[in-house]
Amino acid sequence: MKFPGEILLGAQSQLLPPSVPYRFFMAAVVFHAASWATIIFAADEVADFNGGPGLVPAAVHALTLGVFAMTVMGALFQLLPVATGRMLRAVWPCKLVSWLYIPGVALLVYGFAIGHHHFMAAGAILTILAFLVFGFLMADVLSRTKGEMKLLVLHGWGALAALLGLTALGIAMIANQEHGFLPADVNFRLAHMIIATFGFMGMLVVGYSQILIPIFALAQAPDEGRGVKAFVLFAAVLGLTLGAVFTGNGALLTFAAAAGVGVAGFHVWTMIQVVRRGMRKNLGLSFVLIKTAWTLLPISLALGVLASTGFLGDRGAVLFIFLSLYGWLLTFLLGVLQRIIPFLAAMNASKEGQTPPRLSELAEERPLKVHAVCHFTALALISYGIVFAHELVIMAGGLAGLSGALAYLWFMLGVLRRMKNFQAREKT
Amino acid sequence: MNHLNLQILITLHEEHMAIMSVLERLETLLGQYGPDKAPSADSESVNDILKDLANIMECEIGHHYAFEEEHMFPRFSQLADDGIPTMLKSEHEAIRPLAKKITDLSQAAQADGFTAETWRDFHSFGQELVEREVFHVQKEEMGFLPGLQQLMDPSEDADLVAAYAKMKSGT
Repeated sequence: MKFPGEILLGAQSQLLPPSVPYRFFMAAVVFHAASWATIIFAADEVADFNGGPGLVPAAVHALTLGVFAMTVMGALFQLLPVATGRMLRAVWPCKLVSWLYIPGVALLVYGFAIGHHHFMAAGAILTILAFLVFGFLMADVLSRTKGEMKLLVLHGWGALAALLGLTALGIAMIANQEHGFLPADVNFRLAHMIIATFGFMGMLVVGYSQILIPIFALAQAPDEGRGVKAFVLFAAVLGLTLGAVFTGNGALLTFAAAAGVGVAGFHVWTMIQVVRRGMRKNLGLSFVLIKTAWTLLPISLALGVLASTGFLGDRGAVLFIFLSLYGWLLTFLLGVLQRIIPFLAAMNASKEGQTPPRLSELAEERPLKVHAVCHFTALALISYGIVFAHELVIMAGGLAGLSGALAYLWFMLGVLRRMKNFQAREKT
Repeated sequence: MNHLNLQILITLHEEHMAIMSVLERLETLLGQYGPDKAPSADSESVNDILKDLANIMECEIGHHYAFEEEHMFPRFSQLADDGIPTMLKSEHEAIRPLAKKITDLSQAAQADGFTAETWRDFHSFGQELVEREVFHVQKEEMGFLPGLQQLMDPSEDADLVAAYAKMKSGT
């Protein structure tokens, strides 16, 4: 028996120690601030960024590794076993992942920022080791889940395959900076970005949306058969896109990117249908972020199509990357995370069998409102700054983003403080 | 919620939809006025919400909860897991006193309107009721009812529908 709602029903009896998911979430919230702060200092490089180490890739990796993959680790360690009903064999490997991954990402980001190969290499080694342990843990849970939660499992395997690919490519690219062995006519950076953003993160976002969005909206889960077909199409388009990048076939890349718009459009349409049919209509601020992210996904991919034809010039590619990462993925994850953080806190704050505290007792709405305003302002300003190569506007956008990130940190710390207070009250 | 076809589960689902609809209207009302500004006693839309709220709390939650506890939770415990019905029952116990307070306050307000004090109480209990009941319905809709759909013997359906009708009619 497996249903999306078992995350709700089983969560309290299958909780990890709260320090496990929250160490990843806290690190993600801190790297979120670091990413926007780095953009402020990199404002003069952003619009015309054309590769190589420096502050721009430092900001991007603080986001992709520090926020996206970090959030995924914290969420999956807790949610995947609950959703599949297959427990992790032990908790210590999750802690090991955090000990390797959090300092690894910090070193890697620092290495990128100062352009120091040894820091980058040391950070990359720790990060890769963490990914290997994480990948093994996820593969173990997925391999024990047979015939249930098909969409979640399929997308999980897809994400793991992408993780393997992007890790291998990442190592090769860092080694290449010192030894220069990769063929110069292949755009490995683009391949790495596509595998990381649309392969690893895209697969996870699409897979987990099949469960989380129906739970949030109180709606029927999307049709599984149609979801499987969409997964096959998604994987095929990803493969086609990578084939186009590796062979340097521009026409094929444009075609694949256009097909990507179609696949993304179908995902967004499916999710909108779920929300429309949902019993819960007042979905709150988190869904303002989630719906904005759904809007930005096909828009960013459409920009990718135009950028692949050269129609928008070099800045078109930068805008495509910015809107994919900060517009679609970051907005979506922060929307989901602001629901998961208090939910897990409520489950952790009371013992099994006791009524958990209300989410509003744990989570303050005000910092989230501040965050949303700052986040949307940052997206608008930086997009404008990229298009018109306006350094000061980009800097202002970075400041807005940083302010929003600090508000999010305020929200997170508030939830943790109230969870501790509640736990202390329960004990007395 | 997920492809239900047993009549008793469809009935419980439809009641959840009715409860959610009234709670969303209540949530909007509470958001519109805030805790410090009571709505006017002669507002027709406010009175409609109060009437529907009192009705759904008194009838639906009363029968719905009692039926689940008497008939559905024991079945679920028998067929699958005891922990989930225990958790859902403890949520019923947390929601019942809130539902009672909201019903009393709604009925009093329909007769005499809100004072600043009764509105503050209504606002506070109303918010708590919305949060707890929505979370509870979420669990039942996303896990409990689909679970029963898979586990229950369809031949039990007619007897359960009859038992629920009997409970509602008070015979």
